[in-house]
Amino acid sequence: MPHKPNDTKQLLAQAQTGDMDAFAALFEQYRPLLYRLAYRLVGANDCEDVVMDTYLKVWRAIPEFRGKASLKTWLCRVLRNCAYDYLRQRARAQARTVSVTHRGDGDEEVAAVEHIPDTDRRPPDREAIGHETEQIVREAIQQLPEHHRVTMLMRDVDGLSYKQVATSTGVSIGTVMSRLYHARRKLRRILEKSLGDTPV
Amino acid sequence: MKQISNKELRELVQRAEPTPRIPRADAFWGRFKARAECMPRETNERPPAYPRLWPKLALGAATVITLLLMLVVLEFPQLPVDNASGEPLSRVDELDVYIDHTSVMIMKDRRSGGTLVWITGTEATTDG
Repeated sequence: MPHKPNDTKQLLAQAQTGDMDAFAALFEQYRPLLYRLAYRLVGANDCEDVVMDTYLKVWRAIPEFRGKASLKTWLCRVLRNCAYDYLRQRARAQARTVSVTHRGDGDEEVAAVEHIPDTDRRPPDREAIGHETEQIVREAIQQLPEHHRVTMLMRDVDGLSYKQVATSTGVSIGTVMSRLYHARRKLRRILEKSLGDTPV
Repeated sequence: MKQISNKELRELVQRAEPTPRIPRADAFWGRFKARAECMPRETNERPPAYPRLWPKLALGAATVITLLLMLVVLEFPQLPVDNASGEPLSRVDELDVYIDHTSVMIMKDRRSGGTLVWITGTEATTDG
């Protein structure tokens, strides 16, 4: 439940002076969104760690927060940076090549990190089902570029609004719509080839 | 080749991709507090702004210089020059003081022809 503006101001002031309860009360409302974003960026294994690291970084930095961006925008930006750090660490650990490039379609610099599959991403019960079509769809989704995949999953699976996806990923709503269109089109092409006559 | 509609595509994705399980708030914030207590935070204390002392310092310096000049004039009345011509070396025709003050003294040294203007009581106006 979002707080009233006055409550937010008061909680923020208290959090800035070191009140952890006020900090938790202020930021709890964004936690589900952060979990979804982290889950889509790094997968289930590191999701919890990324969210925790994000909050710890914000806790350290909040005395310096001057309100130039909204709390949600700031939080999502910190989370994306944490997530990319995790992906880089994971890539190093797996001795895989990581390419960091500048992608210029957002309103800020976002490091595009080659997606490193999270091997333990599936919950055990989902693994047990092992439906062939689901496996094909999962593999097809993994073929999408990261920014297309994250946008499509946050919108179509997590059910977030365009605005929420835009805030989470740090781009405009127009960019979200464009990414969504391209993601669906690419995925449809892949699936139409790979599914063929397989019953859906 | 089978055509996949938008709706079918969304359903396929939803079936294939799990949603994250979000931990309970109390468990999460308990872990957060345990870790946050061990880490330093950035301070929001700013260094104090440089005190605006220069107006007071300037006023003090001006007062000291004035007093020294007065001492020189009073103690050594023949200095700086012996004005033999009798014509004053300087004079005050008009004096405008643009700040509040309590008094103005204009002193003339007849022998040297010099003029000294001394304004007092200007301190109260420096604080704005």
